[in-house]
Amino acid sequence: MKTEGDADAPQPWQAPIRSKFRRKYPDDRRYPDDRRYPDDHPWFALDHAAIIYPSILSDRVSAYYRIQAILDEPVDIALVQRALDALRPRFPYFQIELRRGFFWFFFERNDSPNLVVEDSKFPMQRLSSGRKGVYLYRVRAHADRLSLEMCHILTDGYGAMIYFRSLLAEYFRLKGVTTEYGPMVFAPNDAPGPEEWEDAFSRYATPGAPGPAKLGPAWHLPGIGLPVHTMRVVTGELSLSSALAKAKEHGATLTIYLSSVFLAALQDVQDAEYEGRPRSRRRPLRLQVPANLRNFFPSSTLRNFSLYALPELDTRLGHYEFSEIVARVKATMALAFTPKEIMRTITRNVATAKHPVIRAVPLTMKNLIMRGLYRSHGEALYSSLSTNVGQARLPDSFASKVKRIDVVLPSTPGLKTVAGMLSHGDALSISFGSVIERRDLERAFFTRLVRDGLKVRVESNLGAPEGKDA
Amino acid sequence: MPYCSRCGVEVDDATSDCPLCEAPIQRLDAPASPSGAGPYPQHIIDPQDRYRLSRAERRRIAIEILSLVAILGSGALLLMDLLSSADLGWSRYAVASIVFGWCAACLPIALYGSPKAAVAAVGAASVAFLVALDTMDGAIGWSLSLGAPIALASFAAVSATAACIATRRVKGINLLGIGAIGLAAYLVALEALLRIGLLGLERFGEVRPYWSLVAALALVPVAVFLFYLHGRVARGADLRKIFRL
Repeated sequence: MKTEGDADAPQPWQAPIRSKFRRKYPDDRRYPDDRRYPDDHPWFALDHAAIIYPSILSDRVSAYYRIQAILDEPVDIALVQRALDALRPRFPYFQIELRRGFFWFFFERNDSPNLVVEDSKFPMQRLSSGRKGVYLYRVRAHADRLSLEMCHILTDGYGAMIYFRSLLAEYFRLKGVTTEYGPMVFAPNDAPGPEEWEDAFSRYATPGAPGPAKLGPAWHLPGIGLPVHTMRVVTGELSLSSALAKAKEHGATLTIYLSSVFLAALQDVQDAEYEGRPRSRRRPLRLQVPANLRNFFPSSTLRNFSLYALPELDTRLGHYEFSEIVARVKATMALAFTPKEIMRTITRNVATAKHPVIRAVPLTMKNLIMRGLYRSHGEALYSSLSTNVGQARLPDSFASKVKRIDVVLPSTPGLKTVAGMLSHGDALSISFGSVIERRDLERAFFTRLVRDGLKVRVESNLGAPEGKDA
Repeated sequence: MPYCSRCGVEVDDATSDCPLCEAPIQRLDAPASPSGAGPYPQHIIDPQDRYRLSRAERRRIAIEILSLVAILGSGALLLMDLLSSADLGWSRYAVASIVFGWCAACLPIALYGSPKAAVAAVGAASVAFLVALDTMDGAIGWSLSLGAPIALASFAAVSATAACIATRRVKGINLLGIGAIGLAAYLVALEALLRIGLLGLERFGEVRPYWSLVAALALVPVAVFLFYLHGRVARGADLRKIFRL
């Protein structure tokens, strides 16, 4: 572990970049020599969760999610840029660009400048990942808000949170606040461990394991889409201790409680939509609730390693009371999040990608197939997505300088509205990302919390429906 | 802190409408911060802008490249012809073709957003191309009697079919039916134009149209079948409703 004083000392692992990977950029567009890091992985393959994303990226599907911190003072962009540059050697697996091979996409080292970008009214718009020199993550700033937009091709919420914590730690170090580094906050001058590059899915796939049960299509929110390249973000802030107490009242964890409220809100919207029509015409409501697989399988990977449970309400059977929903979500998640059950999906995903016939299919055809599979076996199976990233776990040294942290997920034309939750201190933030004009799901969700006795403060990036404001 | 009386949620001081139900926020005192100063910036920035060309710039570059290719190709052909035979012979035809190709490629790009104008311009360029080819041997012959009418008829048929397709609210197999009807009408017109061009207008009535009617009679039932398939099977139309007496 390096201390603050070692920051500028030359490191033995800072080997020169091999010339064959040098791009023909003018020198002022490249990082100077002291930013070089070892070239152990000039290129590497996507992990098994990321394989699908490049095929489905479009102007409407960005696959970028966002972690944003609201600081107690305006962000110093020059210091953020220095922190961003300082972290490059510590996270080499993020300093890459996406390239097309003949059979698969792959990552290749990227030495182009990665600049802090000014924030926008509509966050998380896709960057053209096919272009040379384009990173799959970006850091943005506006007023007192510092944001990391990370593409899911690179890593999941766990990996992004470690990077974001480390970025904040380096930013505050440059402002004179010393932070003790550890497993949740990486020191910029430490060498990245080989296990951080690992595709953990491959390690835990068990040949011969049966696949997960097949599911039918779920109900999806109706609604007219917002214009392309726009999205609505609605963030609700409430007291974490109050929410935890409320979850305890219902005999649930916070994740189970909030997932249950989400399903109940979906049911409210569906009830309104199907009013006066027979129940037999309804499709089940199914919510994707992701979990960090590092909690079930030992791994230190900083790449994707998460899967999900799919709690369901079959509303053809009748209206579900909230206590019933909580019981169903609790039971489903208890059954789904066991190593044996998780192994089913891991094995299916890995075995499919490793099948000799599939490997031999050219990428152009794979893209077509994967787009079709994503529609029929991906989004079609669940109504929406709700992820609870948990506690931000910022180090004490600068935790008080961060007022709130949000996680915002990008929605897609299929799911339309999704939610992400994250807490810092006593501030629990719940953010909805939506690409439709209707706001009834967000309203149903937050008004349920209000009716449950919780005090919620709501804000949005759209002051009025799109088209009304300037 | 102001709150929405309908949803029960609190909102920022600067918020004028509830982010959930869009109802105006009632407040007893003036807002502490100016309305519109929300948590996100109100300007729209796409970080990709610095890499991305606008559509107009792309169109301009495409026209530039096509023009350069046409100029270089025409120049090379003319020089080759001059060097080999000290006269402009075959190269005139090749250059006319290149110029027509340039028009056919560049006019739709230049008139992007005005499809009718683009079709009319390409149609006019086609007629001009045919007349130019015809005049290269010193006299105007087939271009006015056959070439130009057939070209205009082709454009008219394609335009009418496209316009008809555009008016369809539900697009499916019915588009193939419209295409078949358009093709049938075009074939009848083509045979008539061929007769006028080859036999002259005075002998037009002597020979009855034959092959185009056969083709049209084959295409029209196919179109009717496709319309039926579209309306009855694909859309589940109620025949009793459609054919109610």
